[in-house]
Amino acid sequence: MKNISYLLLLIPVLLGSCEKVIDLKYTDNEVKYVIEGTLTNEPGSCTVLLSKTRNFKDSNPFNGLSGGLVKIENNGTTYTLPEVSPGVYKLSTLTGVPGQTYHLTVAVEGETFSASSTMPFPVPFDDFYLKPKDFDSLRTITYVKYKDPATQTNFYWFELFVNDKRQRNFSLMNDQFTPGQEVNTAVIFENKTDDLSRNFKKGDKLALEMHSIDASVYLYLFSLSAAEGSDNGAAPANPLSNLKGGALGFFSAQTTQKRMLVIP
Amino acid sequence: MKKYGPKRFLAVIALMLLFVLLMQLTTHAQMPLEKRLTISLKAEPLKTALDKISKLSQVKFTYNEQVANSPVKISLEAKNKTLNEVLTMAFSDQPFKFKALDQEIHVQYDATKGKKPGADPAANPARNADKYSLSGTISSSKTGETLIAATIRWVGTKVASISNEYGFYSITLPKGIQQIEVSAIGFRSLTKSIDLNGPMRLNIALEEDANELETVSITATSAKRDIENPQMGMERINLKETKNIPMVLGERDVIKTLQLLPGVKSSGEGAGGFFVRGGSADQNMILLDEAPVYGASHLLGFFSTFNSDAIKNVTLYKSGMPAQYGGGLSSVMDVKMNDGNLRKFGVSGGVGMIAARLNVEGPIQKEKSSFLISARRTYLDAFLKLSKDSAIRNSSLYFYDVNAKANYILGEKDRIYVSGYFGRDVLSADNLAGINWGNATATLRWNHLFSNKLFSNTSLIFSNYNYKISTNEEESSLSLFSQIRDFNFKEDLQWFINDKNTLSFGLNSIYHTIKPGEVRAEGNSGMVSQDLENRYALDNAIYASNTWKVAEGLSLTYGLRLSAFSILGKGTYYDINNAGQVTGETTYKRGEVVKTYINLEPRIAASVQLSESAALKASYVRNAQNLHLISNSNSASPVDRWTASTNIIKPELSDQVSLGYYKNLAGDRYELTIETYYKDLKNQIDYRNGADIYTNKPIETQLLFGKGRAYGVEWLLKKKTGKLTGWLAYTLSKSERQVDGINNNRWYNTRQDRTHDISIVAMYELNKKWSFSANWVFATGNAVTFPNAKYTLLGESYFYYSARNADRMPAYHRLDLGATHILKKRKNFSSELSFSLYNAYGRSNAYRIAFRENENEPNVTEALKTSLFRFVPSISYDFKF
Repeated sequence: MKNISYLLLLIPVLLGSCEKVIDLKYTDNEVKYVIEGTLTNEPGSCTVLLSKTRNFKDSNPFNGLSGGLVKIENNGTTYTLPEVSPGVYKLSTLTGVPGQTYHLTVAVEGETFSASSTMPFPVPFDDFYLKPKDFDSLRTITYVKYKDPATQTNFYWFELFVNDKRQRNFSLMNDQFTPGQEVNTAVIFENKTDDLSRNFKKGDKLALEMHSIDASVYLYLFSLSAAEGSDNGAAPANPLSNLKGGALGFFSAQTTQKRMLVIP
Repeated sequence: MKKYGPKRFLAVIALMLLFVLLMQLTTHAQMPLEKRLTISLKAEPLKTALDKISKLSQVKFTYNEQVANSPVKISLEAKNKTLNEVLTMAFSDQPFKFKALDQEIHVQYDATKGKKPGADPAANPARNADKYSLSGTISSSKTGETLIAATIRWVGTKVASISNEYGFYSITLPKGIQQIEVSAIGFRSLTKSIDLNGPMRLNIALEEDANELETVSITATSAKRDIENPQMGMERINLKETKNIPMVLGERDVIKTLQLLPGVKSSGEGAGGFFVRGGSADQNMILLDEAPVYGASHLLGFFSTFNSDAIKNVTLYKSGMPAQYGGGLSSVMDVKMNDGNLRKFGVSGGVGMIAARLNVEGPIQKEKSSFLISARRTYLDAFLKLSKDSAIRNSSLYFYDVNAKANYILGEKDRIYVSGYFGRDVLSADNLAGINWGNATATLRWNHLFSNKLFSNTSLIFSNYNYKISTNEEESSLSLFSQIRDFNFKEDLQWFINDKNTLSFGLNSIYHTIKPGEVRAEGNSGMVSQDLENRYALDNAIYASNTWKVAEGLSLTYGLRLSAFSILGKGTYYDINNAGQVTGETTYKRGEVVKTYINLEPRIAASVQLSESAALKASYVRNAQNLHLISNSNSASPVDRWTASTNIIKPELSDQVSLGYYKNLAGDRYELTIETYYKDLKNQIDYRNGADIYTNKPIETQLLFGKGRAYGVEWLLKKKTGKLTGWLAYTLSKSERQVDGINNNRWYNTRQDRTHDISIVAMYELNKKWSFSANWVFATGNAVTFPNAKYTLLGESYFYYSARNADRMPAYHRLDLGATHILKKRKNFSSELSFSLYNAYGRSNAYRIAFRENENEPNVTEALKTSLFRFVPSISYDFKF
């Protein structure tokens, strides 16, 4: 169904649209806390990033917030994550276990935020492949293969990497239309920028990280992908976070598997 | 962001009333009548006499054909008399009257003059017993097409009647010899004497106004608006009248003409969707020959589904909807197709920039039956084949539509119509993915006259809208099919009781079947074929409405529509909590009633005539809507989801009050309309934040419900006659919504909120060969949501939004130019070339504004404006034989 949106995009192009960068007055009036917490079933992955929203003119890429107290609790045991660099809190000894629920609390500048996430059971990432005819320098279609377990509701998050660099766009799947099936679904790598050097070429490494995520994280990522609204007028809206206390971002306990291919 | 509160709004209304008052005062200045002259006339024909007076006094006269062709002879002697005295003398015993309009004098036929006071039969109640009805059909003498909204008037009185949608009229007049005048827009008025000695049938044929302009501009009385009728908030579009308005890519489009009227707004650049008085696009009930049309646009909203060649008349009701209509909160757009030429066979057609059209019509049996077939198809896809890019070459992009109609006159009392519409859009890329959608409607109608006073129309209607999305990959394929289908029975009766009362009543019953989605999958994708449950509903309504001429200058319409919407099984209906989670379900058997929503919809309107040329009208109307388009987009998207009311989704309700002032100025050459309205909306539907449109969960889990309000003032100054015609429209309005769960539960501007909206339309007929047109529009930018902070997540910048639709796009304005050149105009063949230039000064209006990180400086945010359609020239060729 994703193909359809590309089709619809064709129309303005045919009608001769033009684009221009314009000056707008921005109102920078809100400062919010941003939390990005992930815990996987791989050792050394437990990371919480703490930052604040930035003004438009601000060109600082990451406004890390120091001095926060970050804790993760599981089954009565509480782990404190030390700050390893401004705004980055890591505990390499904490490795997530599928089926366990983790509770995150962050206390900073007198505010407290919390969230909980349950790590789903891993679903084997069976294959990641590219059909030669689907290679295109601007838009390359790859396929993933996995078998959806019939016994539970599953949500999947695929993070895209090109030559080890994480891409902005990601792919989400659920099993509403594929319960208990062996799934072969397309994941599209695309250069949406005007920068020709980012076009795909032979020898490029494409990689996917497959995560099984819980429902609240799926809803967050789904609404994040739609947050900027759509071309045809759907209003932008902030994504629906699983964090309590008014912070932006999410906390996810997730499984992770990575597969890679080289464009032949 | 400025807020326009109710106080500010009231101030605007006060200003408006002040303006009206001032205008009343200024129109009384009478300069030209004071001019003095000396003249001697001996039995000169009226026109010659007026020419001479005009020459001597240097004052211009305007009059219609009836005056110009009058056999009346004028004799008079005047020495240094004022023009007022001269004309009073000249017309002292003649059936004419005059009045000054600015610097000109308007001369009018006046049958009441010359009659002795008290001889007017209408003024004499004792003779009411001897009244009879005169009824029949009004049609065009050239084609036999019946005329909608033609006026039949008892000359010299205010007794008048209007022909209905089938050209039928009925008027009650006293016994004896009476003069009647019949008029319609675009036709020559006809005055006729009849001897009424009992109920009489009279079919009237009017000749087309050939548009031959005389040296003195002719004021067509036919253009005069019926200011006595309580109907307000109504716009009637005559396709001939608006034919020359320039259009994008030269494709004539009735919906885009409507968008130039006050209170009607375009849903986006070049879009065929429209918003009426702050309502959303699905709140317009669009009817084509009585059949509801669910997807009213082609090519993703750029073109409307209505092929202008096949359309006779379009009526849009913005408020005060007659009780016969229901189901749409904001407006009713009633489109009537041509019936087909009863007299002679004809072919017409045209080629534009993107589409070619052909229209064939003619009698099957002369004067008894006729047919019409009108078809249109785009040919843009032919150019795709020329592309070097194979992906584009293998793409499809076209639409076509066919209108077909036949009618048969069974006798004096019966006529049968069969009409149909079929249209389809096809869009596919590289044989991989495609979407096609379209409407089909069929209507069978039977007009029957029970008596000279009771007209009946029975309709059987079928209507179907569906779309199919498919993707084909090497090892798998997937399709999604969705449909809404109606079977509809309608009985409408009009009873012309007497000269004071006209009663409309009837019933309507629709059976809806909605197929939300059928998923078909093959291959290795893992997708499982499944059907979302069909939804069934029975939509019943009865109505009655009476128009009562209470007294001279006061008319009332009061009516009631009772609608009952029954949701039927089989199917499963859900209980859903505030978070959008399913908490329970009930399964109903086939035919079992899930729930019935009953709504009483009062329709009340009154009109008070302030003077010969001015009236005040007020109305209150309630509407209920049970079919909802769940959409989050500006432009009509074919995949927008129609859903019926359920146990959770309640009928949308609107209550609208409006007040209007109507004035015919300068001898009916100009008409001024000022309307103000306030609309209260309940049970409005919006998507939740983060809603998934493609879900197999109950749709209600993705929705939120709230309320809305819309208010505004609309001004329209129209010039309908002369070489230069057109209008000036200005709307000041507000449209807001409040939904718990959106925008922190605060009121927010709707997408269709546009504070100021101006359109100026001018059409100029230079000579018989050339005519020109121009329109200029200005509108406040759309209400949009701009971010007001950014943050880093997953290594990328994202934006934070605080208030929904609190920002504005830059103001929108645009000038379009058009010209039509008649190449040939003979009896058997005529052809013309039309040129147009859309967005003539190339304003780059914002179609959307997106925010992104600068590609070279990754952490600098920039706003990117996309515009469409700058300087779009087009040429089209039309022919007729």
